[in-house]
Amino acid sequence: MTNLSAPSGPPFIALSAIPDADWLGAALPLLHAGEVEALEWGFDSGWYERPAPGWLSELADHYSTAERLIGHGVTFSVLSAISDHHDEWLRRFAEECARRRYLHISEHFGMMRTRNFHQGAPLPVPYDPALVRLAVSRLQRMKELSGGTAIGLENLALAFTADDVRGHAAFILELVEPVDGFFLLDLHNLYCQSQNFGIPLQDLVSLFPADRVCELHLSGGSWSEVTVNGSSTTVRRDTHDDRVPDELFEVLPFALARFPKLRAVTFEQLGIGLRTAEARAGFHDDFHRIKEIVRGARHG
Amino acid sequence: MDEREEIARFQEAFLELLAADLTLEEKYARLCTAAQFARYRDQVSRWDPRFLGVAVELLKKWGARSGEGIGESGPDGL
Repeated sequence: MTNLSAPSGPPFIALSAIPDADWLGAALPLLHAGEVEALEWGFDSGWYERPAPGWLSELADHYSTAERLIGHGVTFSVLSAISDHHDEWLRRFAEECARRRYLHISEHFGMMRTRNFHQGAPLPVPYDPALVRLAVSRLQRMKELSGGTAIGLENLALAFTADDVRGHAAFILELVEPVDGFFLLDLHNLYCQSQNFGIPLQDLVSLFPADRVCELHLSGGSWSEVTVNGSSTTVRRDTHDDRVPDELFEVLPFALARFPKLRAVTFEQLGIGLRTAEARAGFHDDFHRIKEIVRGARHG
Repeated sequence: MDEREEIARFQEAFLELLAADLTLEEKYARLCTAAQFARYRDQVSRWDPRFLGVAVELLKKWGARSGEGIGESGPDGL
C-alpha cells in the first residue's frame, strides 16, 4: 500500500536541465514558447566544484515558484557502505529544500563513493539486506529534511546478469517502500537492459509496480564495443548524446497507461549531442513526439 | 570485522579492481577468486564480463580518487 497521491491532472512534460550552453541553446525555443511544463535539475551537481550557472539557478527558481520543479540528485551514492560524505550532503540538501519547493526528489540506485573514490557514475551492487537497511535510513533522512517531499530512486542502466535485470525493480522496491517513496523509471536505461540481455522492453516495464512509478525519463544513447576472450560484441549504453530510439516511443503509451501516478515525463539530452542545427532540430522533434504521445494518452 | 565494514571493503576492492591495469579477463578472474570479494562470491561469479567492461569504462570516464580534483558527473544511467 502507498499513500503516494495520484496527480490531479496528466503528467507534466519536463526537460532535464543541463548546465551547458549547447543544451540551453537547444532548450530556449521550447522554454520561451512555454512548452516545458516542468523542469528537472541535478541540484547537487554544482555543490563540490563548479557552481550552477546563474541562468540555471534562475530557471530553477522560476519553476520552483510555479511548483513545477523536480529535484534529481546525482552524487549522494545511496548504496555506499561508508557514510563519510553523507552528513555534509544532507546538510546541503536541507538548505536546498528550504530554498526551493520540489514536486518530488529522486536519486539514483547504486554506489559511486568509497574511501578510495569520491566520485563516479552509480554502479550496481550485490543485493545485501545490511545495505538495504542502511540505504532506507538515508532515504528516510532525505524525506525528513525535505519536509516530507516524496523521495524516489531511478533504475540503473548497467546490470551484470539477466537475473539482476529481472530483480532490479524488487530491489528498488525494498528501498523505497519503507519511506513510501517512488520509482523514477528511466525507459532508456530499461532499453539498454532489454538490448543487452535480450528481454522484451515491455516485459521489463511490467516488472515495475503500477502504483509507485511517478516519473519517466526518456533519452538516447550509444553502442560500445566490448571484447572478452577475443570475441567482440556491442553493448547499449545510456550516454544521453543522441536521439531517442523509436522503441521508446512505441512503449511510452503502454507505460502511460500502466502508471496512473505519473507526475512527469522528462526528456534528457546532454549538450554534447546538441552542437549542430540538425541535432537541435532532432531534440525539438523528440520533445514534440513525446508531447504528442502524452497528449494522446490524456485524450485517450 | 562487522558486516558494514566488510561491505565497505568489498566496494573499495571492486573499484580498485575496475581501475587496475589488468585485462578484462584478469579482472574477472580476480573477482571470482580473490578474498576481498568472498562475501558475494555466489553473485559476482555469475556476472557477465562484458558488463564488467562497461563498469571499467564508466569509472575511467567519471571516477575520481579521493584527493584528486572533481571532474564532471553524468551518464551512464543518470
